[in-house]
Amino acid sequence: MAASSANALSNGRLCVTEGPLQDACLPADGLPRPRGDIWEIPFAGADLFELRQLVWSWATKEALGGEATEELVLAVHEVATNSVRHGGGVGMLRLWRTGEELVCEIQDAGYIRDPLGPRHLPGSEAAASRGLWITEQICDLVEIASSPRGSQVRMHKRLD
Amino acid sequence: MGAPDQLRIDSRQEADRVVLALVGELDMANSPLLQRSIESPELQETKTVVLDLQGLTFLDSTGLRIILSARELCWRRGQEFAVTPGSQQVQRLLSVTGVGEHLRTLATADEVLA
Repeated sequence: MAASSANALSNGRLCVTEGPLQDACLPADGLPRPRGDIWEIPFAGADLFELRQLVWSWATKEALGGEATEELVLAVHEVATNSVRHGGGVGMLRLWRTGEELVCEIQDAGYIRDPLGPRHLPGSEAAASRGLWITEQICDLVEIASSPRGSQVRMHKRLD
Repeated sequence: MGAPDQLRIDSRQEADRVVLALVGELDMANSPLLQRSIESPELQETKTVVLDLQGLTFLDSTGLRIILSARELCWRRGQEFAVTPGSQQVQRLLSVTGVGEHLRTLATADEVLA
């Protein structure tokens, strides 16, 4: 993935990891760290517009379809919005590609007390206010790890 | 980059209605702009309020909530409330949440409510 699309968020960085994640806000039972190239982009509330553009550029470059790209952009945006509102105001976005899918993960200092909550079907008006529920509907898989130390929400989109 | 830059709201008064045309992206950062437009005095006396979403390229759950609260406000005032279809992304959010079924939708902002 090209770092050029990260101009707007110039502190984004590409890193290659082999060992466990060391971040302070890692959930106690964090999701397993993927191997290989990961693009890390820290964000705050003022960055959401640029974050959407960045995910759109990346997914388009990785040849995810137009509609799936829009869904992934919305999913990342909704989870990032939760970070800004409830997760300490800032978060870290990680992007990587596996053989068959694009994966976006957001980590923040928030605590999702009911990770199964998004799977319950709310009424349509309640749905409008539940970013995580929307995210569950438009991703192929959403993994959540959360503890009082922080949360990870990992969103998967298949490359067809 | 200021968040309000991503959204413009053009308001136009017609015979018995006000059309608010949303152009750009509506999200958590700029939804207060829409909230203020909806609460503006010029909307209070009109018979019908139309939110024209044809120029809206992105909508999130916060923006959707503001649209729903606009509808509630219009109902309380005894006004008609309608929207026009937005971009594919906007329509996707309306359909996945089921909200689209509960919104009166005009083909275009020029369509007259029956």
